[in-house]
Amino acid sequence: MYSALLAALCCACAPAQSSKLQGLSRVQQHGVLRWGADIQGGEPYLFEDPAHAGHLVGFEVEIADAIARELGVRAELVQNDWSTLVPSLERGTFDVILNGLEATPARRERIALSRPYYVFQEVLTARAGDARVRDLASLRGLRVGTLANSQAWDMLDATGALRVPYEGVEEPYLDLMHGRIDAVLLDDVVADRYAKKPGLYEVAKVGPGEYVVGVQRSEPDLLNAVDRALTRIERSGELPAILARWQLSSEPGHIAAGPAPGAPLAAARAPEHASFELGSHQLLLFFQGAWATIAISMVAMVFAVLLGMLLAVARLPSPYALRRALAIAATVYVEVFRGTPVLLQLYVLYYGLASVVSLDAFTAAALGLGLNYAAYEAEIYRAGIQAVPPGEVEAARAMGMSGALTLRRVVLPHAARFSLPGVANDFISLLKDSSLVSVITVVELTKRMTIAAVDGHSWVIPGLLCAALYLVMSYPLSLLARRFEHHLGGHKR
Amino acid sequence: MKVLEARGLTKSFGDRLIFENVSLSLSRGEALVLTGPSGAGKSTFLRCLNGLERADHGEVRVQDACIRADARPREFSAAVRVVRSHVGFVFQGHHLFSHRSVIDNVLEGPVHVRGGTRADCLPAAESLLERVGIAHRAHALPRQLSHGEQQRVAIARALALDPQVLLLDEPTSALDRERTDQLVRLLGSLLREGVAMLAVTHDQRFAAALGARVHRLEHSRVVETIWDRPSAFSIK
Repeated sequence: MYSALLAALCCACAPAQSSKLQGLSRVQQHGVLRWGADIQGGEPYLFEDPAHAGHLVGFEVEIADAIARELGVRAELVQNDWSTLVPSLERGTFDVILNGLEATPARRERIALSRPYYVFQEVLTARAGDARVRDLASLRGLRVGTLANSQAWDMLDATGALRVPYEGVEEPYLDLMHGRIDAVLLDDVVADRYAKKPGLYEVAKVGPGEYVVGVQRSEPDLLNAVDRALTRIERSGELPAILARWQLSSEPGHIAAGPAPGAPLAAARAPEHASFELGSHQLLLFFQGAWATIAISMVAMVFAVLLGMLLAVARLPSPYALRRALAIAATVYVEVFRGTPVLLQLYVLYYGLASVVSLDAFTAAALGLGLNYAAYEAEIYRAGIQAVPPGEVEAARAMGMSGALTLRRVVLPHAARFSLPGVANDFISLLKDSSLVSVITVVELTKRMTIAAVDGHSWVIPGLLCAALYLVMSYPLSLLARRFEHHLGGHKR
Repeated sequence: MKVLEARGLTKSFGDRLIFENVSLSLSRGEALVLTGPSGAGKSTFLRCLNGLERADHGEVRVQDACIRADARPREFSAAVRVVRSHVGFVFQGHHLFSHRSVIDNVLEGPVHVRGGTRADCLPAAESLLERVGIAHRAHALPRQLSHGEQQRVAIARALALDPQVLLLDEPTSALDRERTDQLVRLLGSLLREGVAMLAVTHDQRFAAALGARVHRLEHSRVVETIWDRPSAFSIK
């Protein structure tokens, strides 16, 4: 659903200009090749070394380093949700995509693609004994999981299967085991490592695909440089060596464009599961994630509280035509921001408006959440204002207070007290909703947890640690809200 | 000298006529009581006098200001502001600011409406509390006071803006005989100082004790009337 939306958004606006320098000259000027990838993609593409948290390893890390070296610069990873790599490239978040990006016709239309660095096979996996799943044609009406926006996703489109999108590579196989879906279609690189689960078997290889490097269309010189670099490291034997090191087939047919029919694929191996280790470095990364969560939530909440107050006041009844027009505008704002998903709003703000205002991810995250929560705050204040004793408002007017003074001296103090529990509630809810901003490349607490969990093949300890950190952040807020309520004179009523 | 003059006031809610073409006036130091059956619109009439309710026709004059029913919103609120600066209103339910202490309720007008400093206004506010006999509860919150105490704070709050006219809605409805006498003594001393007042009440004894003229609102009309045997209820 979001992929169609993103495509529409990104067609509607030109790619953002990140700097005046273009293509190869920008990369060489800065001395850095920024490559976009999703750490959550996991082993063997790129993932955190479970033994050294924060240290990235994977065959794509090594390919990125090799390409950068050939260009005379160093490689720098930019974390980005896998399903939004293309729009992020277009808005200039990084220089190239290097993350299991398949060469599909749709992608070829939007961005420039390099020669392949690996040729893979799409693998169909099902539960043992499920005779319904035989090949692509047999999938009509079945629930089939894969990565959103992948080549497999596109292939499934024509089959009449009910596609179930996933962000990570392990979750579809878990759901398949648990019977939540009927089949999984994913690259052999993934299937060889994650599909080896009890009760699952490989039904068939249903077609080849190529992993390529994505570059902005407007930067052909960078594309050429990447192509030349890939060819050089293939000829020098470095690329085959990297693939071999990661137990990916280094047969020539698996590197050159076009697969060799019937080429033997890497023998199936059970992945060597490194388990999650809670070292001081891993803890530090979690704290950094928690800090990002707090910082985004605080900025967003302050913004939401102030804007919400303006909206609530704008919606008060008034005899003046201008004020009534303002009230209508405020009502429309509240209904639109409350009535559409915050995820959609984040996408629009970050990708859709990229050509108008190119916000950095943190600003877009805080602003997006703030704009959304302002609508909820406005409603809470409005309810609070309606709960103000009408007699006291009249008494204030009767002694000659203006509307603004009545608002400040009588209405808002009462409304604040009535609203505080709701606002505190919203703050706690915002703290958790901030996990949504990982879709616009911010790594906050929940994203940190999923990265650690996928790489460490364990959800228990990272999950508990993540939950504990959220609780540590939200519980003091509850206490603080209770104290405020008391302080504002709510002793007993 | 007229301090308040209402001319031709008419008010209806929807197609229900409340009162029609009512005129009355108040002189300096004069007390007037408005009586009539429950639901006749006495409180609505009182509220029209200081613009809490907008009449359909007619006007209310206080000093130079004139609230005209047919004024545009901006003129109307400007006139209402001037009128309110001369007219104090004591509600039947008092409507004290529940989140502020007694003394802060009294200071609210002088400090925040008139723009005085708290330090400058405090002595006058304290002597007002003294005068209404509630100085010992200056720092209590309204909900900690009895009904009669709350009323005295409401009167002090209205007096803090030095009004020329005091409008009182059912001032004795919840007071016993002794409290009523206290109120009459307080209002009597204000009358002698020149404050005019208009009270909505059924309390004949109260009206007589204040020496008030009595008007009756019935069938949408207001007529001056005389209660039987008013002298039977004199209060010393």
